[in-house]
Amino acid sequence: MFDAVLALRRGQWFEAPRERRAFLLVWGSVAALVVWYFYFGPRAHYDYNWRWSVVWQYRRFLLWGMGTTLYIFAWSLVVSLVLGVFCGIGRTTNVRWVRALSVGYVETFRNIPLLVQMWWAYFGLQQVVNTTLNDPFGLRLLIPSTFACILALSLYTGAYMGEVVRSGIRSIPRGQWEAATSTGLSRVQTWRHVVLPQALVIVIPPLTSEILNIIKNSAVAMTIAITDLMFYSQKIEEETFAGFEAYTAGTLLFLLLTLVTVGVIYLLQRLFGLKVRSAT
Amino acid sequence: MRRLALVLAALVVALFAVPDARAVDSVLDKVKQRGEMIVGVKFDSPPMGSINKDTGQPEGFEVDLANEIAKDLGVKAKFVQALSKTRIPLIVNGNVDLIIATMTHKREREQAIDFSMHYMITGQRPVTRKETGITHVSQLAGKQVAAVQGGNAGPNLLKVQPKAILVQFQEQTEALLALKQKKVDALVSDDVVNQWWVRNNPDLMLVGKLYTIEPYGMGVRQNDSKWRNAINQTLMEIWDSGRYHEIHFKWFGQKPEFEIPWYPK
Amino acid sequence: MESFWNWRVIPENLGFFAGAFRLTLTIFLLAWVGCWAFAIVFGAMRHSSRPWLSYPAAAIVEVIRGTPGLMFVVWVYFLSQPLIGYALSPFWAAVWALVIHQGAYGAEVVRAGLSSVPRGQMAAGYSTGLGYIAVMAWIVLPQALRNMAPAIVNRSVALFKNTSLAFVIGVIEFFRAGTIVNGRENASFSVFTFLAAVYFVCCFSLSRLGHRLGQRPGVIEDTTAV
Repeated sequence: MFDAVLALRRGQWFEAPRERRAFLLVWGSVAALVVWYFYFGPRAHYDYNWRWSVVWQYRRFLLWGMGTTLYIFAWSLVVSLVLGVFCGIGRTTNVRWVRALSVGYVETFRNIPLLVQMWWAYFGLQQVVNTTLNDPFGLRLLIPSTFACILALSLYTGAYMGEVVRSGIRSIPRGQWEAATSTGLSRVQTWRHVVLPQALVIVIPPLTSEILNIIKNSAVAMTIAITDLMFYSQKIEEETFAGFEAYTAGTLLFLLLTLVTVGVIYLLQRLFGLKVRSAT
Repeated sequence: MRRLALVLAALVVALFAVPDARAVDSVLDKVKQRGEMIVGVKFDSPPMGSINKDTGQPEGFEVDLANEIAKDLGVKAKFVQALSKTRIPLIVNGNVDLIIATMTHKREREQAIDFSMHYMITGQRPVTRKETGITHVSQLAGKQVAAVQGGNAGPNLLKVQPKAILVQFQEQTEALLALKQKKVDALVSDDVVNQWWVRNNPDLMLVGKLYTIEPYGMGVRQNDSKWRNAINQTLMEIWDSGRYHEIHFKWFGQKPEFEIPWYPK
Repeated sequence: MESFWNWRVIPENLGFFAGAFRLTLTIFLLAWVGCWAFAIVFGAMRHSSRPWLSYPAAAIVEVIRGTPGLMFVVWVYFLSQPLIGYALSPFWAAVWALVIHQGAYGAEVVRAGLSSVPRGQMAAGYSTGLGYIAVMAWIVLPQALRNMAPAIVNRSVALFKNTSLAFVIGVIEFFRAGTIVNGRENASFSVFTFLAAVYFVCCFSLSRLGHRLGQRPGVIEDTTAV
């Protein structure tokens, strides 16, 4: 969607006036129909008064929710990127056991739903901790829900990022490696200065899409008692009984978060003088 | 291009040809016509509503009550899960016809739905593990207390103990699990459920006295007197015929200590 | 000392789990059909050279893709009555929510697949007098499908995983069966490990199939999460 906006800026929209008219006619009438249907149509008065003011009234709920979501997002982003990079390197290395470990990690965490992973981290891990540690000094090791959520989200997204990083590394021509060794760089130096920078830049589009997925997947954190944006959207609905308005506000805020993230990544690319690649 | 315009025109016609779903009919007529009443009950609050271990079907005091009401109306009851936070939207949005889900009749809830007469009166208080030694609500200051999202157990606790930290789950069973796993120090919910938990879990105990009064009402759609009257009258029939007492005895082991509001024919 | 190794819980409740798993499979199959129907329609619109079809389709697909799946499930269930005048049961609300949400992701796969077929094919089809739908159905899609196959399998795996989201509206599918047993028995470790194992076996076998299909040249990779 962002690149559609960029295209508009570059003036690449409909040159032919006939196409412009067709577009406006068809979709303008569809939009008008939708609005008419909801506000004046036969179903408009199903005991439903539109109360958009509640969104403004309860804005502090929405802000608290966004704060928690951003907190989870930030932590999960960092951890999953680290995991993803290491996993990607592990997948392409020649050391057998490292490769096996990375493959095992990726396959395991990509094939189990995030919900199961989160609940396992919150309830299952707690049970293990409770029974094995058995309160040695009356200390209680509690697994707070944010920790469980970030753990599960990072492990899950890290597996996908590992695949993305791997494809980036594989696309670096063999010649780069050979050139690096011929100038006397060690393996680690090659990774750090030659391969990884190029690989990561190449995979910015799919990486961006994975980063956006972190935001969207964090919505399930509500089920383990985390008060994120999803939780507060529902809380507004409980208190005001204005479901449509509350959920629209929540959805729009999620969309806003994703747009802002895409924008930040775009700006970062411009900042580092890179050719801008649009997200898939 | 012409074909596309025809398709769009057909869609527009279809949108308006579909009959108006505006609710002028009473739910009673719709239920009788369908032969089936969709009831929202709890699946996580024994003995009121829970899932039977062996059959996977809902069972409980409220489930039995719903079945009796359905029988008197001459229809079958179909059960859908109602969480504390979804029970009011379920009625408002028309997904169910009746809600019998440990819902307290509150004045503010009357903005969105209508209530039947009270079919049970209970209260709220915390439950905790025996080892915590908490015997009074005042000791919950700064402690983590589990509650269910959408119910009024959490807000009511905050009224008596503003310094408690609420941890809100989707369902009672998760809140109970958090209590048993020592993630929280107490759990607040309605006493009918508390008594059941304490009876079946020897490591739990009740804390102090009831600090609220919770009269349960069945939820129905707003401004539908025909349906609400039918429910009320059926409830009184069930009380008069003694079936209410049977069901109460089956689930609570004793006779009800209250009387439902009653008026003659 | 209580052990977390409480495996007894699984065989005791196996019947309950099996019934719930059947429900998950049903949701998956129904949603799979709907999802790809939606994906083909919107993917073709996105691929179309008429901008008044492709831009709005892009907007719709992007908006749906930018929404969390959980939010969608809740939307469809609670707002079905005011929006379409008919109250969907939790089962059908979950199916439709999955159809729309995963269908949007599928639309991207379909679009990539359609783009991988050379435009000359469509031109050749038109030149023999076939209309748009016939060209799509008989010439372009079969070729595109071969390229899209591993991406389709990946998306299907994601769809299977997302059936677990239905649990928030009360559908007693496999994940919820697990949470019910978990709440009752306090055997979290065994229950969730069991759930993870079953999901893993199902998804892994599906994705192995996709991997096998992906070994041919010209295929499109779609490894996005969700």
